[in-house]
Amino acid sequence: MKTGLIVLLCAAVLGVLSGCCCVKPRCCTMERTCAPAKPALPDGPYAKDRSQSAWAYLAGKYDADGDGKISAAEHGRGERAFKNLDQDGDGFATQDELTPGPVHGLMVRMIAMQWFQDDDNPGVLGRAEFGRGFDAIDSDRSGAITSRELNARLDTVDPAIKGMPTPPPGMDPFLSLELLGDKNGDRTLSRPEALALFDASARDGVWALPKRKGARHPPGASRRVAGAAVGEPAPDFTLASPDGKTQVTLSSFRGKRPVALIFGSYT
Amino acid sequence: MWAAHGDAVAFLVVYIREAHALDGRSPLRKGGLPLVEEPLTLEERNAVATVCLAKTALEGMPAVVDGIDNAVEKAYAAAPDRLYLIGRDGTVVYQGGRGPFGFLPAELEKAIRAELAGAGSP
Repeated sequence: MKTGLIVLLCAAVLGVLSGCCCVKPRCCTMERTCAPAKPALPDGPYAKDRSQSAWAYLAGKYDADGDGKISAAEHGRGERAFKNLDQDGDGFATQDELTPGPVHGLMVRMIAMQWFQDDDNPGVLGRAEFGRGFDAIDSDRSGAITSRELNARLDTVDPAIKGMPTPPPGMDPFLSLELLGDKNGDRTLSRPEALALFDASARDGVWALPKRKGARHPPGASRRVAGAAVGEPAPDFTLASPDGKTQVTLSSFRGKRPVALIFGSYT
Repeated sequence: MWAAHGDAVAFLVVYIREAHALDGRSPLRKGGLPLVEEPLTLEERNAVATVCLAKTALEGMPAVVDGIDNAVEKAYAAAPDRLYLIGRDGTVVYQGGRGPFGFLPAELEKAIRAELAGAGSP
């Protein structure tokens, strides 16, 4: 998965991820910089050094007494946030509690059910089939699959499994496999790692799509649309820019131009 | 899309609560990815939004930040991410699905073309 979905939008909305700052080609060679210096990034609840691990960031910020664990008192960012870190509820957040969230388990299943299938029963994935799927993805026969190899099969995936959507364009499906399965941190998923991942979540030796428990909506009942539905007046709002210098009111565009709203976040 | 339609359509990024905060329910906790704690104040969210916009090619696109009460995100059911197109008359002409799977820029562009052509939503 790319760094946040907002990044996905870059490629689609703008068409390019980055562009030269220089209008005149020679400015990039004639001058040391061809763009004005950018202001320093503000301080905030994020890691400025993205190469560090999540634990290194949190411990560096909160483990005041250096005992290798973070207490609620050291954390100080509220009970709900601390509870998400202190998964065993013993009053301390530790490195081994920083596991990937449940969304990645869902992604792994979705990817496996589509990428690793090789038979006519797409709703069930057995261990041997999973292994065959791994071997098919491991195009260089190295014994480990990489992001490049997995993504190379993207075009061959037939999303024939109902209810299992394909990852959106730009989302790296390998990321979830890596987060949950890459135990030695080499950014590949070896065959033993992959099979361990399968075994950890298999029930009765297989992965199967969950069966629907009856109709989601009673016959004749309308399905409530979450958010602002087509044809309805758009909820008005007035919000400020990140620097606080500009305020935008949605209704100010009425009668002038359509407005494309892009909701998202860094993560 | 912004480059192609930016003269006729206003594009506005609405920065909302984190989809995968380190201390959230669906965390991304790996080096190399944005490591962000869920902002507790508008000031913190403004800071993270500033970094996000600076680190992506969205820098330069008009952007606003939802209040810490998440009121606008709730009104549009926008979390974790979502696309909308509001017509000139102030009504919703395109409501994208919720991300990640419903976040489909191609659909938005199709809706923009239809709106500009006067045909309404596809």
